[in-house]
Amino acid sequence: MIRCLLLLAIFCAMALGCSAQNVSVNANNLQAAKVFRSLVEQTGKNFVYSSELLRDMKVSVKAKDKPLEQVLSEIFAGTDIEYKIKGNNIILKRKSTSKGPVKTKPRHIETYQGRLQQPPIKSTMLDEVVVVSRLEAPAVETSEIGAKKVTASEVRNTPVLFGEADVIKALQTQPGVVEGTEGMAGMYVHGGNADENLYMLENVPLYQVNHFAGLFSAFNTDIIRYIDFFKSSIPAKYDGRLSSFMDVRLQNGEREGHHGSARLGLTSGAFNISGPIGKKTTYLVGLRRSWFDVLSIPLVAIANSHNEDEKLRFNYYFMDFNARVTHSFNPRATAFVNVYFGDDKLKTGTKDKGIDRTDDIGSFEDDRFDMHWGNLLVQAGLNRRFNSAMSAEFTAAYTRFFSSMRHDYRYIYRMPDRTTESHSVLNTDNNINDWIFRGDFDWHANDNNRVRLGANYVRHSFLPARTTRHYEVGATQMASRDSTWAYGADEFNVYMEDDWEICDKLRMNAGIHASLFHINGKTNHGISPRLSVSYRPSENFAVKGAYSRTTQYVHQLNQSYLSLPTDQWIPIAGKFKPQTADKISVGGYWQSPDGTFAASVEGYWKWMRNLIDYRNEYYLRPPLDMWNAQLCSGKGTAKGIDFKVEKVFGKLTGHVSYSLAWADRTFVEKNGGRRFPAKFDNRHTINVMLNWKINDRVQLNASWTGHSGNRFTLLNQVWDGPKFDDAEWMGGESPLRAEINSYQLPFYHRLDLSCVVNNRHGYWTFGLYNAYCHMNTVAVKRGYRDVTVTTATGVYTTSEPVFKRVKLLPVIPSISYTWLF
Amino acid sequence: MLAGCEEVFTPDMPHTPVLCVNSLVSAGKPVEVSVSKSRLYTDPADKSEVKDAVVNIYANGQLQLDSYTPKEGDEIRIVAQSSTLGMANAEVNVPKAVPIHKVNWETHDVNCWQNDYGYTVQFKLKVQITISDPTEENYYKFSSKVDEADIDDETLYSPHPPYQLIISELQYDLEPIFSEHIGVFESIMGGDAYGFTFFSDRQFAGRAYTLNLQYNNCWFQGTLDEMPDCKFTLTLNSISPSYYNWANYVWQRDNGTLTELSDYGFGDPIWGYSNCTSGAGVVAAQSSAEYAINFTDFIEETITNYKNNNQ
Repeated sequence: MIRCLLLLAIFCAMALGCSAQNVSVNANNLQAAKVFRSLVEQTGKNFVYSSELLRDMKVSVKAKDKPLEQVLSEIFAGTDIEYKIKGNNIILKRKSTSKGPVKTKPRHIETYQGRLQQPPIKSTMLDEVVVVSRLEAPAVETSEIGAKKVTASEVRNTPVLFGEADVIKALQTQPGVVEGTEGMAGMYVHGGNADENLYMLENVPLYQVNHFAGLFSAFNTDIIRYIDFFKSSIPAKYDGRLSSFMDVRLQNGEREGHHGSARLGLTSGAFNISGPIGKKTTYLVGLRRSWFDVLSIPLVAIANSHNEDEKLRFNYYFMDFNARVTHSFNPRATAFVNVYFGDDKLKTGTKDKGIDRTDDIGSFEDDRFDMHWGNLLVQAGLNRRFNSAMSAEFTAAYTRFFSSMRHDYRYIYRMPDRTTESHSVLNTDNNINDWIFRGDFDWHANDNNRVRLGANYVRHSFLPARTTRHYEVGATQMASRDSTWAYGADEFNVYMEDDWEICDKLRMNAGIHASLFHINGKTNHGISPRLSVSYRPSENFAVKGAYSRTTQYVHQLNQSYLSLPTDQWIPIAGKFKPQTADKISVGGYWQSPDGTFAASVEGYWKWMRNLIDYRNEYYLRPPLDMWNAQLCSGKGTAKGIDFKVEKVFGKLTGHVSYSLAWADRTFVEKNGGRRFPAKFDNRHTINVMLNWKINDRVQLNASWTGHSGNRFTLLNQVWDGPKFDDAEWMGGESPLRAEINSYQLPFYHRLDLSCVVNNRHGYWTFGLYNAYCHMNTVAVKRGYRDVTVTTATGVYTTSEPVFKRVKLLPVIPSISYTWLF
Repeated sequence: MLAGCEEVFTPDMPHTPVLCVNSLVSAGKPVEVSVSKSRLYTDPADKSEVKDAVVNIYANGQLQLDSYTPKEGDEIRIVAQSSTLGMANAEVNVPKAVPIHKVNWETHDVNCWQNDYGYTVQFKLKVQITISDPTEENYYKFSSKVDEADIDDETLYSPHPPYQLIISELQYDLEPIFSEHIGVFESIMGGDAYGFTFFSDRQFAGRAYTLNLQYNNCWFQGTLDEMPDCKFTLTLNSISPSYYNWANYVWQRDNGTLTELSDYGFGDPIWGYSNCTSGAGVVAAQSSAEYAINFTDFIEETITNYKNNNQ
């Protein structure tokens, strides 16, 4: 920590020694939105404007190191658009007039350094402000494939289970992203596994991004500014995961007054506030907490009141806490500190009430189970603009995933003449600690080249899963600890990429990311080249091609598709090699001349090597065994095509996407070495997402998803097991092994609806998950059913073995209210 | 409304029965092999019968006759063949018995009283068994029983037998090695070591290990006149990995969390452990070492002391 503070102090000193800063823009007849995106990048401010306001506007402006206000004034001089900087937002609207509706004519307005060309606009009333802070560049303008910048409003407008706006569930509607198990905030991108996605908060990895076994993701959507998501062509800045990269960016604190929101929902509540501290400092605090423990108190009390002998314990909650302080030393240098803490805590168990009543005779138990898991992140950073062309971000961070499970059992045998007591404690700890130091530079070398480069060092400390047992019987005590030890690992990364606009029609992004991972005296290395090329034969059409390699040194072991505290993050060690993926992708992109509609088709082919998974029958290795004895290594491929049609502007927005995909795995030690489909090898996936802003008060959102059923290993045969021992529990019938994931569950489909109703103080959100109550099959189990048999001697009931489709989630309504202040 | 549901259906999926071979090979005892076949889960159990199977037993590469008795160290291969189901075979090595190196025992909480049927001696028993583990990978199963060789069933199970020795209520949870297969999550979900006395040498490979055993319900009932030999036999079986894996699998199947997770689509299903090429059946082996504790002197002394104190 001391080293962090020192580093931060050095950064601050550098910043304070710098001169005043302004923005620089060099645009020649560029679309206004593109210019604004440049300003957004430089200032961190949002542009807020009506979707119709800037349609087809072109801007020419040349400003070097000038104040933002001056540049904006130059851009809008002579137009009927005015701007106002309020807090972190730049609000654009048409100038008000006493003559009623504004009527504009085609015109070309020249200014001193800027020119705004405004197309003819029909007579229109001045719109109320519609927040369209569209930071994302249209796909035809970039060289990226499979990139998506998701705004906070897009997340909030995606209807989800229990009405809890969820970043990951919003991304599940994107083509190429599969949700996995129904209702869960899982993410399987282009045939990858769940642990192949790097989730970041302000560029710092988070290892635990789920709550409540995966029903909710850990990001408080009320304080999110936007999310960068990459799944095909990956910027050289990112590496360390095979499939996708998601960086969540938080809002900066309000500069004018203290504002915030308070939300009350069925499952959780949230409170957020931000504001200034003096003239140069802002703060942002967000807290989200579930209600489950509060709701369970009366239920547990009722249960206990009806049971004189036993006391039930149950307490579960999850929480997310975010805090951010931003300080501007001067316009060129801004420092910030972020803190995130999210955890789940479950306490349950039973206690015989007689255990505390010393007069009671008999045997009594006190059984306690505690599980606590989560993620802590602390980050200090400095954004520094050296000159109009060069800026940098320096970060020191600490991120920690932790999981602790404890079973505490006390037994008392109390007789009139004596008392015997035993006590046992079983504890498992699993954690990963990362110290991160990084510097990222952004250099606009010239009008056509933008170079990004940087380096980072990460000190990892892993404790895969350490189990300790402690027994105490009378005066006898026994303790044991497994052979797991902590691993230290050093990771070093450097990267560089150039986004090169070769000519108006041709753009290329070429980069490389090199990494070293040192563990147990062994150094692994990875070279991850990246290349994407865009050819734009016309203003509204582009074709692209890309290649990327990604390397992964840490991975997660899951015994299930839930997010459980038993999940372990472990490093590449021993005989295992770093996981790598090579991916080629091509795409075609079109957008309508006015930018209202966009369409794309993207194809990809991915080869994954050194994938790590549990062996067959890994569960036969005891937990005390070394964790890597349970693993094996293999490879996988994924390929597919993603189609998407999108309506970007207007009262009705949304998208329709279709994915055709294949994903498989091959492990020498699994399935007899034969190739098998991935669990979420969903051949066809269709997503429809619609947002209809009926008026200023009411907005309807609908999301329909349909996909080929998940793959399942159906064990449809059994054999009679041996009963070698006299013990009753030996023997019985056992399932016969089968081809892995060879059975496909029925087609899955679901409609989710939500309605947002605004009022003076905030807004109501009404939701309906699985609106037409289609009970989707999530698994097939072997079970029994009762049958009535009639014989000559009478009628009796027996049971017979049957297969059952398991269906979990029906229609689920939700409601929440958010109060804005 | 919020509850899920289950729907009975018949999956459209082909199934091909395979041979199932089960056998426990014990050093010094003739080999018995059970052959059956797998069946569709919904079929009745009698569909597992196989009538045309031929079984051959090979020891150290040589085909054996019916008179073969395996010995420690033998490499055994059992081959079953059926004209309709094909072939299945499995191999196992008969492990060498690991002698019980040292046994310490003591009784505590001893009570004695007289009733219409003689004397009752109630006590708790603590036993420490030290194993010297050989260097190679080893698996064990511990068991114990009261030596009842001299008591016929009619006498033993009569309403008032002339004497009776019970040693029971082994406290499985008090010996950590019996719980080595239980993860904390399974423990939290209610899994315990009750009845499970299988363990490996992973934590003490090549070294000595002492099992700490506690029996909480021990008593003798009888008279000094008809005092039998009160022996309590401790057995340490050296078992093949297949035997350990089968026992562990059964525990996981019945007590672990994976089965339940897969039932709701949250995990992958687990199938039965098998070391047969067909995927069905277990061929295991074991050798035994025994040690007998004789309580006769302890019981006589306890009753004598009681009589002396109450005269």
